[in-house]
Amino acid sequence: MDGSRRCPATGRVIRLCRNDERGRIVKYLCLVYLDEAHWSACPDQECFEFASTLAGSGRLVAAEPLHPVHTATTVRVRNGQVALYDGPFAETKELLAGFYLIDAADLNEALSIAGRIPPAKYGSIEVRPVRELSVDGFRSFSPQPAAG
Amino acid sequence: MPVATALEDAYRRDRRKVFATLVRLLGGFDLAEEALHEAFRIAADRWPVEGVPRNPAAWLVSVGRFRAIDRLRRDRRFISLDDAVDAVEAEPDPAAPPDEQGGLEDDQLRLIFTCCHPSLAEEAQIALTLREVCGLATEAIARAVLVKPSALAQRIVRAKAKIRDARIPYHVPDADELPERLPSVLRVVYLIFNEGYAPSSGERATDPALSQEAIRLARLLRELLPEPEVIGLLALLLLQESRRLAREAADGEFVSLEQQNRSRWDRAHIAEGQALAEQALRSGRIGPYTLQAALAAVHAEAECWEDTDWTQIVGLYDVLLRVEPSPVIELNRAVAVAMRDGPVAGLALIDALMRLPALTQYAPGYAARADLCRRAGRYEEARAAYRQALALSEQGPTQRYFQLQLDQLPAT
Repeated sequence: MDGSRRCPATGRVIRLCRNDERGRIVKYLCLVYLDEAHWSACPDQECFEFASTLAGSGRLVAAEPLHPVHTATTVRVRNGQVALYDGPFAETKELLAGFYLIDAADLNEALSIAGRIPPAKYGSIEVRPVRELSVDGFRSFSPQPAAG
Repeated sequence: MPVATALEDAYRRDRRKVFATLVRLLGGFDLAEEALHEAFRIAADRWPVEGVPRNPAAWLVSVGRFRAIDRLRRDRRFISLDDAVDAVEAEPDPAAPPDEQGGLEDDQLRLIFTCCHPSLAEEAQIALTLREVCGLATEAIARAVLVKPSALAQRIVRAKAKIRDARIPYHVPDADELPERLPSVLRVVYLIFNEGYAPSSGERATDPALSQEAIRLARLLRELLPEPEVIGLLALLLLQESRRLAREAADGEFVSLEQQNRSRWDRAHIAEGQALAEQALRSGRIGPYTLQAALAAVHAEAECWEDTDWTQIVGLYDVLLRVEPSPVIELNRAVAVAMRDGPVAGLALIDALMRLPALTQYAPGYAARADLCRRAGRYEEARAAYRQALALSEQGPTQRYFQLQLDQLPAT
């Protein structure tokens, strides 16, 4: 394979771009999963150092640790009505499809934004607060939104 | 007034108000709880010497807050709490403004809305409300809701952690948010009442303390937020509570509405409940609690079961079903139809309803069917339905009630 193939319908050649093909960068989301027993197994300092190195290499867009699952609220919108549930989403058929990292004054504002995320009408939005790494001199690894 | 009495009074009357305000001023439940205990400890030392302050609640808030700030200052050498201290110090002195009482009341409402936030599980909302708003001890709540004290304590700790970490705000929803947020508050109050009025399991027919607590909460809500459904809920609770004595026989057994000695109904509760129900109905914004209060008021007006205005009851159930469709309400309506048009008409409705998945395991549904079969003279069917009700019931007095009905059926 040379990274291209012919579209069976139109006969046009489609280029299957890899991230390096035109010097373009593709974003990847790396999701961290932990069971409760290992929730705090990894020291914040270690995570901080890794993220700092990554940021130095220009490859880090955003990184945030989350509070444990008991802080989660799930938002669903059905028939125009927002329904809130304590805890993470329960439908095992639902798979991770995307993410929004938002700034909000409190949970009410976060839930109100989450309720407006379009796929909330078909699936679930799990809203989980971001925590701060307890590391001296910590700064967020996520880009800060423009003031206003 | 002796100082000891003033202190007791303040403890009973102002403790939860002071707590609610300290939560706002200190930004956390645990800090507020500690500050509250400190404030009462200092009051016990100083009031006998300095005299009882003119406004004990404001005094307690002020002392509790300063003590907490002192502690935060002492601790900040060890943990980085500068921001917390700055935030707490930035708050205006609560004892200073002249409208301090209004402030304290708003804080109680804030506390209620925070404890009943819809992002907390319902059982956590109930536990937190009883603990933080009503000030009940963890052991008492655990007994009331039938879980182990350790499990209940864990539930409360987790809920508080979620409030803190997920930043559930400490504020009363604005007018446009209120329609979304009020239902969970009303539901918590209603569930607390019901757990005291008709416990879902256990040996006692009723637990008056929990129902009293729910009525107290509903009165507080009505004072602070006189929305029609708040008034309707208070009306409903009072009208139901009016039957408590008649509902429980001397031996603790359950007595059905039909068999209750209506002279034992509490007339003061009924009068107050009826007046509130009318007030809520006049608002024109009629919700499910107001409609249930109206239903209870119709029952309260009847001298005996047979005198009940069943046409009005059926009509109210029809409206209630439009506002809040539910198989259980359909079932109650079917019983009312049976009383209006005869048992056969009711049975036709009930038989269709009992095929719904929501009702196939619902003991009161079988009991209602059994009762209508008995009235229609179909004793064998009544016997079978009572047996099903008995098998599905988990609460001692209810089980014995079904058994008694079964034993009293004529032999065929």
